Amino acid sequence: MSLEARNLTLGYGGQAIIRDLSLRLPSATVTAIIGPNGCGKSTLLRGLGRLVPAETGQVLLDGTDTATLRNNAIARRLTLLPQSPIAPEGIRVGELVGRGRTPWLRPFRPPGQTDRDAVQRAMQAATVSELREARVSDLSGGQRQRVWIAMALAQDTDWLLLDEPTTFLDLRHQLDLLKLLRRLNRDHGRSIVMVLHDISLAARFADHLIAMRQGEVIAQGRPAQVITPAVLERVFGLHTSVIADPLHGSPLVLPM
Amino acid sequence: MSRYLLLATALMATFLAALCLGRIVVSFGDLAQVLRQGPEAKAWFLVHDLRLPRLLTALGAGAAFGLAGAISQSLFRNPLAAPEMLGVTAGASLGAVAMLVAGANGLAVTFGATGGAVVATLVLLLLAGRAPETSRLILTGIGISLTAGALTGLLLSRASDTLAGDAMLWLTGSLNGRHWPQARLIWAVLPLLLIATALAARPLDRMELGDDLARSLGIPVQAARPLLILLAAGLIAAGVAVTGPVGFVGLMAGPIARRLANGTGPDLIGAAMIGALIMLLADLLVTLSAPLALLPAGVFTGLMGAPWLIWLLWRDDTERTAA
Repeated sequence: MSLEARNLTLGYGGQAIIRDLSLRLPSATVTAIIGPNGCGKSTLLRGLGRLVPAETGQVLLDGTDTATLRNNAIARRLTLLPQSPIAPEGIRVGELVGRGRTPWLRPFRPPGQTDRDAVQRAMQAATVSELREARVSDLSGGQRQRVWIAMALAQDTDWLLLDEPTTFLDLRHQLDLLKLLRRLNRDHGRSIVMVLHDISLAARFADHLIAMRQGEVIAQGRPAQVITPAVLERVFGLHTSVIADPLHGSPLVLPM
Repeated sequence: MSRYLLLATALMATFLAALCLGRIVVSFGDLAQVLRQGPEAKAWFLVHDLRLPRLLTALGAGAAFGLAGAISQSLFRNPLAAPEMLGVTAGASLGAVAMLVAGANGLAVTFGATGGAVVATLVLLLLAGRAPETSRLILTGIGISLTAGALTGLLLSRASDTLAGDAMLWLTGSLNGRHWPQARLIWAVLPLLLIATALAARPLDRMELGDDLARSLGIPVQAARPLLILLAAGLIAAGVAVTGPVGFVGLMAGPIARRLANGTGPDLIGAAMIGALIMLLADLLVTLSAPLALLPAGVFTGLMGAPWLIWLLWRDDTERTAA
């Protein structure tokens, strides 16, 4: 299992946002991409998921250029949850999670036992089993985000790409969600790549950090290697002090 | 599944009632005689030449409108999107009115409407591009509607009072004066459109999740969307060509079917059945009110469907409050 960008250039309508970027994402790891607004972190994530086509260069999934893969071949190995997805009108939780099985369904066949089991496991892992019959529109923001995660899990992919999964959540629900993602990585061996805004949360919950600025990777590695005053100065243009979190030992950023 | 059985029963009951009821009531015995004796039966002309083609036209056009509405609502990700938003209805209307004010009638009007719908669809696909975004699609559709509407207005204002009156009546959408040519036309194209829709619309429920998620699930959104637009346009064109633009059917059928499907997403089969049912009921009301005036079906579809939709919204709301 590997996901790799090689000399990747990505952009919208001829305007390059990421130029000639090469990157290897560690598998079975929680990776967080951090950087200021507009630095191209969401674009990179979308490029890795083939939602933005590579203008030049390649994205290699297990060594194969994703541009040459069939839609289902990618969707069975990698999925991307966008920043604020919208649920279809009136849909119930169980039904929405079931849509995650799409790449595994055979044409003109109803979902089988494997699919039902996968949906059930996904709902258990994301702790939304009791909400199966509820309408998504009636849920709180935290519940709703867990439902989306469950849908992505039902897809049974090795790679789970998440674009700012904690947006619009209060601190408690942010922590719940990040703990859930950690658990999915630890118990199910999923490779998780997420764009995160909060540097300290990223440092605490990710094994691997990628710091970006203006479409370039400035630093990558373990949180302690990336979260340093020098890197933060270059990435965010911020003067900071970094101390070890007295509770968790992870780097804690104190802006000056 | 049981909701389809229910809808099918309602459809058959309404069809039978509409076949029998009217200024002259046809009894079941008369119907049986028509089936047994054919053209020799005394109710043959009334049943076979007048009511049957009219009802078959209503059934086909209603199903086409309902289906087109449900497809539009999923594509636009808006439960209140109407197929009229694609601009095809206005294009068809322009074509039909052009024929009517030139003094043509019957099938010439039908072909005028078809031609107008085809032109509007081509313009829509050309202007909105190969992989249109929802907002661009809606704006292009509205632009086409406004342009075609203005041209229709121009034609109406230059026409004689009689011809303009005919054209205005056509624009309300009606089943009056629809006979076997219209019934044959819609049932010649509808099966093909239904099969194509059944094949192409499979990813529609997942496309409601938005482009990014749908593509993450492996759906080829960029190929599927133009195809679905084309099918919705074809369905609208087929319906409008035979009945004129009967309003509200496409708007109501989709949301009602979705409510009946109870949180499992869009229901195209249900939407087609409900569209057909609304048309049949509207036409039954037309016939029953016939002693007063032969009103266009479009008047009744609005009067009937809107309250039902409001009731469904209200019921859903109270359910939610109770829970």
